[in-house]
Amino acid sequence: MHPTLAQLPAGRIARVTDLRGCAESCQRLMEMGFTRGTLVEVLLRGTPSLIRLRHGRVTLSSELAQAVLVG
Amino acid sequence: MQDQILRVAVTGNPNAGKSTLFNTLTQGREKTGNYPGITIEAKRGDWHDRSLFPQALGRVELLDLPGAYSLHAHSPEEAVSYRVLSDGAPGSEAPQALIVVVDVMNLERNLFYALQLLELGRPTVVALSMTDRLAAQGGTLQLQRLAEVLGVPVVDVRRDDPATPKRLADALVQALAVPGAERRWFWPDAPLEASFRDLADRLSAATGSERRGADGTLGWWLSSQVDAGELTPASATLRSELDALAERYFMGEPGVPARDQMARAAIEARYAWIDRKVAPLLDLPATAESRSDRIDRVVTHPVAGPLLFLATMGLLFQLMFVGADPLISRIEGAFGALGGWLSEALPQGPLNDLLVNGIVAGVGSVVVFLPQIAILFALLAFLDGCGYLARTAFLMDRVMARVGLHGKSFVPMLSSFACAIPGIASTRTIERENDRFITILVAPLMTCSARLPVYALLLATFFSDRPAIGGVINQAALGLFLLYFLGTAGALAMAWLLRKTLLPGSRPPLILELPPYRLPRARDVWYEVRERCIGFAKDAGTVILATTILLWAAMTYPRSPEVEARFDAQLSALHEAAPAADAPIAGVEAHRVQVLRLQQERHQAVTERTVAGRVGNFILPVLEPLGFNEQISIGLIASLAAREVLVSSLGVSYGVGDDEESQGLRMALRNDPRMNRATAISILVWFVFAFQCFATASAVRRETRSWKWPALLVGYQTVLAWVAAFVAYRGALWLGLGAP
Repeated sequence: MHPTLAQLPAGRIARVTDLRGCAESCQRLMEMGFTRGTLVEVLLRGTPSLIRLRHGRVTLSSELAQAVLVG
Repeated sequence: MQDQILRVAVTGNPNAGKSTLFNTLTQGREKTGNYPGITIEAKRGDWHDRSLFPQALGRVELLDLPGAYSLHAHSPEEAVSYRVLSDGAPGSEAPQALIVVVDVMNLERNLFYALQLLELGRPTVVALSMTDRLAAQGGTLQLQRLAEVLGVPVVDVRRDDPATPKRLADALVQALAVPGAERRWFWPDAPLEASFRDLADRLSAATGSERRGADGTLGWWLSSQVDAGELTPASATLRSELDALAERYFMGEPGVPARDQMARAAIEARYAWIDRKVAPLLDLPATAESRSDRIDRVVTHPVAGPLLFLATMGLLFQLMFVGADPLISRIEGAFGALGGWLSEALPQGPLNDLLVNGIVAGVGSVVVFLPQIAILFALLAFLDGCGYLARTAFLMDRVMARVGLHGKSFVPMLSSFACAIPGIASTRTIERENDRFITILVAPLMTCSARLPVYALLLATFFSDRPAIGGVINQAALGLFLLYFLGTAGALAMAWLLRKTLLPGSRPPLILELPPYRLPRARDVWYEVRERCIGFAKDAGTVILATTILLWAAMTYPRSPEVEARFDAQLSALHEAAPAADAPIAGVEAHRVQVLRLQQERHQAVTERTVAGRVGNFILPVLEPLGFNEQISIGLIASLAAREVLVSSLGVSYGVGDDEESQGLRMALRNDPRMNRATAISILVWFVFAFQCFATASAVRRETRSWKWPALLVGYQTVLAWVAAFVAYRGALWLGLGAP
């Protein structure tokens, strides 16, 4: 089982491997750039967390950070 | 040729720089309007420099759509944006051409939406914004290659380059010249694409709509869940065919509906295309830490962030209060002079009275607050433009979570500091209905600018001459901050209550982009401020003027000549008995006070017998426990039209203007023995919570499509206001603030 974005320590860069258990929200996450293979970095952990991806910064609430599997 | 209109939609991701471009092209000459039927706040404006286009094109009308991340609507705002793109605004046709604003610093993510638009197959120009920033970071983009890959013109629209409109106009003409622009498809694979073409063709036959059938994204739109209610019977059949199609191609993941899998595959296909074709064209050196990162390190810090937020809000209110003061006294002076001049220039009679005491005094008491409203909107526009408002949503998410909402609900609440109506409209970015309704129902508790005239008047009258706390903090400024705080706390408490009772639900997930910091252009801030001030002045000129005239009539008629005659006789007797000019000061002063008191008594006796006086007296028993007098209770009736009317109503009912010696409303209030700091606090607290704006109720009805919610709003606000004002008044009396 891959860890989720919520478990990733701040400053570590990882790759998105899948999105789980968020149906409608998952689609929006993907539209905003969280597609499989994308590099992401956790800038700030917590609720909400701050993520860097594809030159931008996106903030996610914890239940969504838990939906993003990384490896 | 005059009738010829070329409609061009300006669209793009939120924060991509759409509005800046729109302002540049229209030179700020735009009309903001809500389209009837659908509720969208979109700006329309003509392309300012007509000479950039061939004569035959006619007028070029630009449509500034709300920002969207995808044609798949996830929020009401995006749904509307999509509908206007595909069908046009009601009463208008679909835009013939598109300008897609793409932030070059966020190229890949912005291009995702651009690709969806290219699939629509309409003449399109990609406008690259923030290119100056790219250059500043030492990055480059092969613009020509990007245009070749996308198959449409790509234009650098950096904001401070005077050649931008010309470049964009040329590109638009070029895009329009391509006959039957080739529709681009970014489907996962060829057989699926063929099936979609077939579906789209059949839909166009079924609905008889050529253009709809031409929409490449139609299939994806059908698979979107948000707009399901909008489907026509014909397309509902096709929808089931679409499901069948999805099931044939997407069996991969158990537990995930085939339609979702299909939608995901399409998203990944577009990103894969971008990664393969576009990413190599962009050379953006990965700096260890950008300027925005460094700023965010402080702004989003768990301790420093909230402190900075509080300090920013405090500074905002201090600026609003202190900065506007000199202008306010100047406007007060001007209206006073105008009233005095009119009073002498016109013959005595009802017309003179209406003009001087009704219109000039009433409108003047409201216009006086224009400086404060301008400052508030300038500051909010600045904070929004530089990217700080998005951070407040991030910061407030933790607070909003306590009441069951997410940070995005805070931004409409913050806009409601200016006016609840745009605030309510901006809840369309919130995805789920219950979350959206809660935000709509509590937004009117946020202190809007219409309350400011009332706050400012009472704070300035009863608190500004008090010694500053610790020699630094002005008591009036502190009071203002507390009132804003009280409104916000009330809104949060109500949100929590609504979440627990009428509008239950789990906490919604938050996805929010934090744009890079950027100093907003003075011009863009100015356009925003100008628009808001014109709106306010228009209100003062129409709704408020009409209310003022009605009120003046209600407070003047029926007249009671015998009462007037009695007081006038007493007054002239008092004037005869005036002490000589060289008499002791104490005697002169005592006489002056006597005259003033008699004048006020006369005014009250006369007003009591008028229509307004009777209504005010009728509801007075309910309001008396709050320390309100008849003037206030009359004013509360008047302020149902708009809050700021209370000020003009008090101006009229204290008869400010017909007395040469009076120095405006503040003086009249201070001299009223029934007014003191406790009653001022009670009125202020009432205004924090009470429902006083019919325009808001109609906005709530429009957004919730039911009278149930506005009725609830009026009910709960009235009860809340009464209880809170009662508690505040009794508390203030207990603290000894009831002394003059």
